[in-house]
Amino acid sequence: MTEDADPRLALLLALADDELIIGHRHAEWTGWAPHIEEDLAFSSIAQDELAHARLLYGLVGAMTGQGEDELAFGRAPAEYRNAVLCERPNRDWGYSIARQYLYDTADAVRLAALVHSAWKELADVVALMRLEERYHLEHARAWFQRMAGGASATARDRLATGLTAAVGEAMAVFEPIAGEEALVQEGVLPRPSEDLLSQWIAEIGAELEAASLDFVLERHASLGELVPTGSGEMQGETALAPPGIGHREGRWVHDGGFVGAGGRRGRHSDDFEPLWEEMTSLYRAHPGARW
Amino acid sequence: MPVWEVLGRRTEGDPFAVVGGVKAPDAEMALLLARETHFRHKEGVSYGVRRRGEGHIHEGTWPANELGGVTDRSYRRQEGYVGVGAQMKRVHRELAARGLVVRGPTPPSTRSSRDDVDD
Repeated sequence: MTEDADPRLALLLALADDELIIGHRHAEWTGWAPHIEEDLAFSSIAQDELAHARLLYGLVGAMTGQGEDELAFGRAPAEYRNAVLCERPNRDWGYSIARQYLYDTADAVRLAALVHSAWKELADVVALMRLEERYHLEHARAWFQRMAGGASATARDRLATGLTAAVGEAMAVFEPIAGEEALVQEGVLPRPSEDLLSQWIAEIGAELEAASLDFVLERHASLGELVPTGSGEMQGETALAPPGIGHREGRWVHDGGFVGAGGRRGRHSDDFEPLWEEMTSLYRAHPGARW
Repeated sequence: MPVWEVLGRRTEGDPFAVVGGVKAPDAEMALLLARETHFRHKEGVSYGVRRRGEGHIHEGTWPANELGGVTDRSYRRQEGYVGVGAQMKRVHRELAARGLVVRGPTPPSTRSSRDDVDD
């Protein structure tokens, strides 16, 4: 069975691959975080994300007959459907916190919709995921507020730099998936991605304004790697619309474009292949091994 | 950075017991880090932090049924050695019945002194 035959697969793989890949990146902080408590915190969050990916791969497996390991480690890079945001290296603490804040606020918006999915098995899995995702939000917001609070100018600057680099690609968490119209029609996806994106932008826009960091929404376009260059050149084979976050009537709104879109179609950045090589090396060396 | 004692109740009705410590600038961050480092795998039903040298316990607000996560963490448990001791005893008994004795290495009864170490 393919994503074309059943668009539910495209939705499941987008959700599961996001969790798997960002979980892998979070796990890379183990042993390297600013202090040992955060080593453990990011490791715990990583384990949650991997557990969520397993739950979702379980639903995929029920449709395709594939096992968890085969789905997580046995696919070619172009078969992964995660958003590009999730595969970016951790860079520094400022970027990691910025990305976690943006990803988990976006994830919260889509999960709040999916818990009302007409597909009961998915709604049940999402309800379980949301219980743990609250930990992640609390962690991200606590660090966001501290770094934004300005007690350390360096910390605030690093957070702002991280947000600037990540916010455009975070929009692409809501890149429409293949066969979305049918999913919305059937109630599997209760609200279109565009609708969820608008809600998320309004929410983070208000939070960033409250922290006087809303300037990152205006200047993010110049820093994303997949953004058109000054000479008008574009990376990738498909022209990407210019990034679009606008401010109208006191609200931050989506202005019709994405930065870093393509993950849902298997188009990844140069950062993905090294991650994939490492993540899948054991499975590829011993295909079908059980432990 | 202030040190905070981490306290937990293993089951409902237990008194708070110190289970560890974290460094954090204030109670809010101490509670967050205490939960992340000590109560993410069903180690107890409630938790709190107390700044070292002070008496007041700041309690976490997560309900017992949600504290510690809800998804499968069985892979974290080391179960590869389950039953190894019983198997060894059984093998020893079978060999003893055939008149054979297994002499395994035994740990030293006293700690070696510096005098025993060749420089």
